[in-house]
Amino acid sequence: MGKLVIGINYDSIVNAFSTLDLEYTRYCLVSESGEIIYSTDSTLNEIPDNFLNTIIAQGSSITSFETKDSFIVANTDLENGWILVELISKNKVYNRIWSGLLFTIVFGIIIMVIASIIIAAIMLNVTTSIKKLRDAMKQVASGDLNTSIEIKSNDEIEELSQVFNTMIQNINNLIEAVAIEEKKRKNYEMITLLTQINPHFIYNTLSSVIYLARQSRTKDIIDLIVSLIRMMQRTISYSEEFAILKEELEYINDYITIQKIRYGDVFSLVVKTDKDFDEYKIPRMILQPLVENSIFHGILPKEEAGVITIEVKKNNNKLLISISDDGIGMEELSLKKIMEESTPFKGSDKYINIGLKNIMNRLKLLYGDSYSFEIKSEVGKGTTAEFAVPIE
Amino acid sequence: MIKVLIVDDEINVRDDLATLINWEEHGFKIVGFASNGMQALEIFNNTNPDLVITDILMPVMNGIELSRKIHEINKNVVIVWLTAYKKSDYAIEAVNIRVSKYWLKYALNADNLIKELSELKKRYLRCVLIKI
Repeated sequence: MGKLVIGINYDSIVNAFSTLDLEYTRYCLVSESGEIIYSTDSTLNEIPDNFLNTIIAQGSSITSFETKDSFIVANTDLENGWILVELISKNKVYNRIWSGLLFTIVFGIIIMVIASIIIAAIMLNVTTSIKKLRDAMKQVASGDLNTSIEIKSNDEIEELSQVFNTMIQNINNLIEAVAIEEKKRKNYEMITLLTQINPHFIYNTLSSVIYLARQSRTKDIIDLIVSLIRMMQRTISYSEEFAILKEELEYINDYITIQKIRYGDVFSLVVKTDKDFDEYKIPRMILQPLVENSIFHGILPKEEAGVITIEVKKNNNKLLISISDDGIGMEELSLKKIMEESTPFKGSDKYINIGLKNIMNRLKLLYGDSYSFEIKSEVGKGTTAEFAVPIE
Repeated sequence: MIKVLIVDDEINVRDDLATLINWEEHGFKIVGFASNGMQALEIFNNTNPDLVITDILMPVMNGIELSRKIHEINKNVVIVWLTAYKKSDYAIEAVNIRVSKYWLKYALNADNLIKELSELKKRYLRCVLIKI
């Protein structure tokens, strides 16, 4: 019976342990008899005395144990029967955990603050854009349709602002189109009104035929009917805004013929014009209300015979037409009132519901600023209405 | 005789009314003609007619204003309005001014004029009798 003694180089054990991370864990190599072979730390007295014996007695491969300061893990699974004891410092482990946790919390807070700043900046940008949009909408709601907004946010709000601007532009275009249509409609209505004979004039004229027939005034009846037919033919056949001067003067002649038969031979018409002017265009039915004004406001109230003079002149590229009467004339106040009235002349022949203001409006509509219209009157001497329009 | 004033701006209407019937045969006498309200008022003041037949639309002064002024002077005067066409615009004014009748010019002929005058005559006489 011999005895085999195996020698192990102690340095190799030291070297093996020196490669391990000893910050949190201390190691201790114990023989199967409980003798400490090597320890990384000289202060291993915290291992309870009976611990090693208990481990050896148990024969389990890995056993753990907890003391006040450490977690102790014993590994008995080594081939040579030795036991490797690891003492993990609770303090150091907890410190590591706490420092990790602290780092996580601080890092989290920093991230949250940065995120909050970024979100706040984004929100501020978004709310500013929405406020701009809201203000613009309020402006539109209050009737200001010249509103437009510029938002450069590269997002849906910018898209929304572009849609808003397009919508306002469309609304403006629509309003403009409606206004143009309305202007056309009014103009058309005015033309219709001007180019139609008022039914009341026809009633009165036809009623006159009855009175004339009862008095056997055949010639007057014929003249009256012929003039009325011609007037009606013109108004039915033509719907244009303009008529040539010759036609308008013929129309006035027929009108005067009828009125002379109806009201007696108390006025006469003098027309001073030139053949060269015959084809010049003037607004259709522009003369008739002025002649009517001369009859009913000038001559008939005078209760004696009077003369209505229509004078046509050419000055540069303008046609000057004046309608004057030697009637009672008007005071400045009455003249002003008549000029401003858009209602028919008071006490007129009920012929046509066109006031002087409407005549001026019509001239403005047709010629813009390139026309003139003036009425001069003197009490006891008469009234002159004069207008000038570009020659067309 | 009931005195009549005829007011119309159209001479033909005045002439026609005057010659349509023999007024005196029916107890009426035409005392004057006027072509507007102002002229009519002057003639009215000089002749004191009992019946005024007036057109509504006339220059200077219209028939409505004339009727109002006549009734301010003498509310017993019978007033008849002449009109060329049926129009309800003046109906309320006619009631307010107590216009007795509303005649359509074109519908007037000798027969219905006599009939209308006969009614007016009765109304006028009733008023006179009440006054007495």
